Amino acid sequence: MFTNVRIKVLQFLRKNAKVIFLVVCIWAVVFLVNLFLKNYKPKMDLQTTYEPHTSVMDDTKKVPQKVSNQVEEMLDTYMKYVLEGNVESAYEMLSEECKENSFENKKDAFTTYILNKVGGAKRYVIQDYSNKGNTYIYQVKYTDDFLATGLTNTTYSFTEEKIVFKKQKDGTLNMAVGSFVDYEEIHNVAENQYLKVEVQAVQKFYSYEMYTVKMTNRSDDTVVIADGQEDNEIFLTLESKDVRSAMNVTNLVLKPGESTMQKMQFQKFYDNEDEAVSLTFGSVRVMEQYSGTENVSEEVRQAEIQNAVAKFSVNIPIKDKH
Amino acid sequence: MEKNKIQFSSTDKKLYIGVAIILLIVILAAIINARSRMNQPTIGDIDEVTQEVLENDKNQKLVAALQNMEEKDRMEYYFGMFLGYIEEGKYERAYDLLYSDFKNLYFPTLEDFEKYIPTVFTEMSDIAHENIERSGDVYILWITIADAIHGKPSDKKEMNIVIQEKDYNDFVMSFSVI
Repeated sequence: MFTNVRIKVLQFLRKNAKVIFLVVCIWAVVFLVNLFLKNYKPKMDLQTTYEPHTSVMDDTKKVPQKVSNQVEEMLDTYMKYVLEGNVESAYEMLSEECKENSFENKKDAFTTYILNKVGGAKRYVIQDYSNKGNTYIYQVKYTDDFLATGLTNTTYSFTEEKIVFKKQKDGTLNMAVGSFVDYEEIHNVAENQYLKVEVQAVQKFYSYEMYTVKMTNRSDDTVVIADGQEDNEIFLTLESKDVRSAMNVTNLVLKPGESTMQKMQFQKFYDNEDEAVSLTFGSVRVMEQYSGTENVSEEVRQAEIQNAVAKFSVNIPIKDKH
Repeated sequence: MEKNKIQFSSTDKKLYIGVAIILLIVILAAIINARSRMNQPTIGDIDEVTQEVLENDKNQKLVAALQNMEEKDRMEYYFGMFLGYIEEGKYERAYDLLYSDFKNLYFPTLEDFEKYIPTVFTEMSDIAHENIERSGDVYILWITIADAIHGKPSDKKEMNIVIQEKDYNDFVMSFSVI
């Protein structure tokens, strides 16, 4: 009788072999997955709003992991030097362009800059501010170690600057402080019988552009480029036709035959895609008689302008040579 | 009487071996799991339940709660935790939450901290959170603190609380010594 039962069981097993095998497999998978999930305790990362490598200007843009690691390492080393007072080593970390354009290759100028910018700060905090192509602009805040002081007898304050990292073809990063981003040679010339103007180069800082312009008065008269008497005497035109007036030039008068070099500063953010296309001297006056603007009556000034030998504007293209 | 013999075909053998291997894997996994569980104290073994297990359990629940909080709420919770220890007289636990450099600067010993506590904190403090700012991974809270039981409105004191959160329920802090 027992043998018959065995035979019946065996027959049942043979008949339903595939189904039994499938059921055992499914049960085993469910059992193992259940066991795994029971023991699986995922570690949730700390969620904060501090994302040092996500751009403030566009939070969809993140610095690639490889670059952000390099940035952190470089800033760590640089800040270690700065906070230790090892200014020379910190200076050597800067790109050659930065040394030249921000500090005119003078270590003393860098030392002064560090003293003003960092002062007695003991901590720094980084934040990716803006990215454009292979250029990564970080905002760095310098603060006291207020975790150590608890802000006892002091208030929360900080200084900040933009530190710019440019990825090179070999994968290394160039570092620039003082908000310096870029330098480009231009050498565009506009000239007539009275005046020759050459836009030689542009230094691009994060929030402004500085054009080096050489002007030569070719006449025997006074050439007035700017003296505050006319509108739009010196301005930069952007692709959108938006114009930016010179921030640092209010008086530019050339004596007969005089040649001068001037750095002209215009507000323009580096990450603004609206590029500069031309520099314009909007109201150049060639004057036989020029008495200036101080302590001179309006009547005299207007009379001199009326008697000007020539009045014209000069437009020097910038973008096409980039 | 002829004896009935059970014949196993090749397919049968493969089936049985397959099922046996699967069952073996399942049994092994179950044994490993059971062993690892046996190494942990359980609630049932009440005599063996250590304070550490209870703390871990409490900590896990706290972490789960903190994960659902915004940063501002977490910082206020951390400061509340510090204040709670003080109000309960657990000064050492409050002291342990302080940043080491801050302790070295203002309260090198627990006794120094204990002496300071009554000058600012009371058995029940009334706290108003005025503002919060983040500087990297460090948060600064602006609060006013007053004695909730005996204080007058004019006795309110302004304080800064500085907190660095390393992970959920893992933080160090300092405060403006007033």
